[in-house]
Amino acid sequence: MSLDTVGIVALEILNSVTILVLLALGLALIFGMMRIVNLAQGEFFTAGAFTVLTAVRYAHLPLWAGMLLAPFVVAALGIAIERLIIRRLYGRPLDVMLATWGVSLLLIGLITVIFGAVTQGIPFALGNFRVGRYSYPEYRIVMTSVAAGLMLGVYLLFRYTAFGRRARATIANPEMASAAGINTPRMFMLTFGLGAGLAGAAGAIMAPIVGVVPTMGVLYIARAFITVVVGGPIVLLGTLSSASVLGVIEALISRFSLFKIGTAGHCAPPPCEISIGGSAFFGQIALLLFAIVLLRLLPQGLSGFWRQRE
Amino acid sequence: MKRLSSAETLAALLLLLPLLAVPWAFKPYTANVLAVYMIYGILAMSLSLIWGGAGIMSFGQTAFFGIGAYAYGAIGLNLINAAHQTHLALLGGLLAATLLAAVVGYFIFYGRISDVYASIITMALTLVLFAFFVSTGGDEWVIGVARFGGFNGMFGQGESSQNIANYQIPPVTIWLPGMSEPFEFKINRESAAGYFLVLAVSVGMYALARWLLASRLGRVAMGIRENEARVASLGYDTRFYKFALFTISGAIAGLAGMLFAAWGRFVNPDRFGLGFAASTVVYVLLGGRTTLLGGFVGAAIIGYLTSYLGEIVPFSTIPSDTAPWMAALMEASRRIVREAPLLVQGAVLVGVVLMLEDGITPPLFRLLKRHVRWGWWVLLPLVIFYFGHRAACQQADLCLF
Repeated sequence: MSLDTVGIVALEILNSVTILVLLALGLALIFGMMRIVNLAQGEFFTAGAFTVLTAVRYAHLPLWAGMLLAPFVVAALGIAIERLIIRRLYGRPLDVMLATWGVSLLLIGLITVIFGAVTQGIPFALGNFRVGRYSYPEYRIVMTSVAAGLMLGVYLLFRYTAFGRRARATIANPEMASAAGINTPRMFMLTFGLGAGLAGAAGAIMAPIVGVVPTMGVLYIARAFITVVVGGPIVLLGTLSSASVLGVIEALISRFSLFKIGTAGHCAPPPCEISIGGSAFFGQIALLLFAIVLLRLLPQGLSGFWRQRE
Repeated sequence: MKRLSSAETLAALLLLLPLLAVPWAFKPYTANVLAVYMIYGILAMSLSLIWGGAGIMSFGQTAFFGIGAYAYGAIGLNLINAAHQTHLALLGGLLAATLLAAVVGYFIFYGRISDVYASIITMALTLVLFAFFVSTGGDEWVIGVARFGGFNGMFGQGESSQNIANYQIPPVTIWLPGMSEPFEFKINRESAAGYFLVLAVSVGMYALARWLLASRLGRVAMGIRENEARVASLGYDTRFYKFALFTISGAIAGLAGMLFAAWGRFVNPDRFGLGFAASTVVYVLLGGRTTLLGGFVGAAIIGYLTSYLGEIVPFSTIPSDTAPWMAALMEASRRIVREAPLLVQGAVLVGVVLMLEDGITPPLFRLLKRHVRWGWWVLLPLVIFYFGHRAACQQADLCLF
């Protein structure tokens, strides 16, 4: 394997990790801090992408303005849903899951009603750079920087601000935090809004490289959940570590064909062979299989395992 | 669950009697539609078995359903021309679904993955299988003569690739020794055998599930639902009981999938889609997760509602002289009706969770229990009279109601 192949594979791994971090960060925040499985997270992602689309297509704003707007719009949407629905269901984890799934279907339906069931693209101006014989999109480097920035931002927010301290106190012990004068329902609301906003940011930043379509969230939600479940209870560290492990697996299996199975079909150029590995969906299948086996060994996920060891 | 069991039996009988009479009282179309509602009902019941029984929410029932359908299709297509029956396909489909459920169940329950994680894993399984079956469009995805066909669904392939003579998944066909020719379970003008097959499987699976829940397995599972730690402390291996119930409910879902493939003579990756997974949960949630009959009731209600909404096409043409705001309003209502199945599912999920936690059947059963004599002596003759009338009036085309 030549040096430029190594380089391009490394970049693809970085890209897989980036996408998993972007997808999982908001979900991990909501799940890790509030113990809520938010199945509407995929549609928050979609809403972020559609905010960018609306801003660019219909309001004729520049792309970056649309991307800055998206997290705030989606956070507002998340806060509204928390106030209207999720607030009534705290302490009933299964019902929250079902209700957010209902919200997810309603949002897909509403977005389809408004924008139609067509795939739309968002044009952007960045080109490619060269790695030896290969060319690689510059925009993916931008995505990696944004993902890193978001993680750092969340860390600083929860570590060093008054909001972060209150939110962590609320998560650790709601009654005690309430007794100490913290408005805990407000903290839950803001945390949920923050998680939704992060999904909106992910949708906005990924909108130019994927087709914007009302059902796009469904394509990513499985990977996001696998990342969160493998990551375990510690939000940032868990997400980063599981995204790193899973990203390597996904990128490698997606790129390289492991082996081939011959079949007895009628192919245009014979012989008929199924190549195991070497395409994007084998990457996803490998992700799922790895996650199931890993959870059999470490039921608490990666960060739960480390926490036990300490 | 226990308290209402006598009312549930009565309700099941009240539903069964008219269903037995349907092929005589209605046109084949009705039998066809009711058959698919019952197939969805079996699938939904398999979910309420594991959800209502052991408190485990599985989004993966549709995965087992789809695997059962695909396995039946693949084996059946290869078998039908060689052996003119589908015995092995029925066995293979059931085996495939059971095996998948057992493997997933082993990893989930013996890994002691908590309830919420288990739900997520089953959902991820369904979504990944969807991605997998969608991408099987190429020529190389073929088992014998059965082409997977990607999004277009499974078909049999003729001998030559130039002249692809596609044929469909066979209906359930039996050819036992001593029979002069194979017997196909179809639903058409001549025969309602397919309908009765689905009805018989529905009744059989319902009885099996009722028996399971009343057996030791079911009682321990209910104990796990209420308080897993206490059941474990009494010396029960809770992992095994959850695993066993999950595998059985997966097998029942796979059976429903086989019936579906044989009923529609077709299967495509939509069976693994999020929409289908959602509708299964919606059936159970609306019908009531604590009763096994709830799945059937929910499937019939939602199935009827969505097919009814699907037929409405409001404002098929918008005249050009309409005021712009009026035209926009008409266009919006058209789009809303087009998206109605999704919107109905979402609204039912949110609405039932917020307002009607147990679904609609438990209150109905309570009503029936309170007026059990009324149920027997008034409802039953009414049902018999109505269906007798329908059956008699069909030929002469003189139906009053």
